[in-house]
Amino acid sequence: MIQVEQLAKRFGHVEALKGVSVNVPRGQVSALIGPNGSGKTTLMKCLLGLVRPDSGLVRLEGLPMDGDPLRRLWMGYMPQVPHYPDNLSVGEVLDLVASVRLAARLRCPHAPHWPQDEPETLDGIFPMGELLGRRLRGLSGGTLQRVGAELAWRSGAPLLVLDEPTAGLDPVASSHLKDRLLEDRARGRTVLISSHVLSDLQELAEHLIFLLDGRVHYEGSLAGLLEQTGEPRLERAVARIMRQEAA
Amino acid sequence: MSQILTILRHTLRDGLRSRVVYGLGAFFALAGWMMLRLGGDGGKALLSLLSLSLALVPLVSLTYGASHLYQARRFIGLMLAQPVPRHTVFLGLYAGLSLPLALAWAVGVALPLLATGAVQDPQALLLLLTAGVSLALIFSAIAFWVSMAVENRLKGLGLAIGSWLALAIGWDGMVLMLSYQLADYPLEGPVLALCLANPIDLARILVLLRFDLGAMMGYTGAVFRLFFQGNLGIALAGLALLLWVALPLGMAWRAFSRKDF
Repeated sequence: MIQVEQLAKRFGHVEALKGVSVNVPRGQVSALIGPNGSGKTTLMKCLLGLVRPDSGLVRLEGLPMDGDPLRRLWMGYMPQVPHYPDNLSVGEVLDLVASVRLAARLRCPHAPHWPQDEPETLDGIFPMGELLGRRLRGLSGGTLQRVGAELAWRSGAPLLVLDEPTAGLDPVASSHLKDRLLEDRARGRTVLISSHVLSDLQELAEHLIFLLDGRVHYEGSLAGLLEQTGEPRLERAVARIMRQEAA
Repeated sequence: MSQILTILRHTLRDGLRSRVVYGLGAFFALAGWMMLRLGGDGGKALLSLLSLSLALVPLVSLTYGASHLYQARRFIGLMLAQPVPRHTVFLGLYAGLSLPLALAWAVGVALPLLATGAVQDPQALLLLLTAGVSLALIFSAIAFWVSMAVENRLKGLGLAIGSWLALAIGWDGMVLMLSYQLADYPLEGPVLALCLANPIDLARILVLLRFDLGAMMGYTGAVFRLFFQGNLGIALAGLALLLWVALPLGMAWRAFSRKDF
């Protein structure tokens, strides 16, 4: 669904991405893994147009993401640490994002919607009812994270880009969110997810993109990586690779 | 168009609920009421409010604006991840920041003057409102530019406060020093240029051109009045203030359009 070609990005002296080329296959959950500072968030932000690469290209459905904002109708985004205007209520922020997306959809009627003709929410796992009228100022980190998840799912986008979605969630909420992702995976939704909780990713991901120091160290199936390293668990496989790199 | 109205509706709602915005309006309403109570007539109260506004409106716009936008960075990122053009998000954020400040100040200033019927000269009040609203728009735009161009929050706030100190406090000293050091040369041209280069000075001159108060005009104001008297001067100062809104806003857009979030 997404092809990234030779993406490079430098922040001052730091080379965050050094010619990254990867694919995010349609209908699969792809996991973006790597240690802190390996370029995961920068890569995700390049896909969304939040960070402008110095060189390289991102293609969505074969067409270059040439700065046309309507292409972001294809993507729903959940940021790592969300922040919202203090004086708005949860309901107002949900309305803001829904309204701007609806206006874009009216201008681009051929943009796909997931799932078709069905409004989507996470109400089943994160009930928003009592939160809708509450101001965002003073809400806990976990609650803000739930609002972020709700925004991403409500987007109705065929591709979800989730940056550390379970960080800050309590174990019950985190488990609900994983269940929902498994459900979406079974229905063929495309998801790109980054997380440090590798045990979660082992349950969810079919496709792995392993970034190390701004370069792609491995791209392929989860089973392929486990086989290559001879380890039974993703966590151990990644640790082994990083030990080998450090040596 | 509907996207910008949606964003504007929400950012205005956020701004109009801010304690700083309420505080600014309440402070000026109270100050105006006290000045009228302490024996000043409408004209004197208006001029006192002008002096207070020339210092406080830029300071509050700069510090509140910059800290608000540094805090809003992740929210800006979330909005830019939606199918919305960057300029739409930019305009929505700028209007949501500057208009509540301008509105709170204007209501705060106008309320006691109008409620007590103390203003004899409605044009003077109109000029004061134009000057203050322009300052809120200009310094919110400078705050926007600073918060987009300077990555480090502390450095950005330092730059914002530094620019206020230079324009609101240091400027008169600099003009005085220049006029003293270069007293033997014809200085009208450079002083006129200096006057156009400081929006706070321009706002002061805009209002004072309506009054015949040589003492408050200062050196730059006196030179300005020498060249442009009456309505021509008022129109020119107003136009220059309008250009002053466009300049930092253009710089802010340039920084915003190139920024990584």
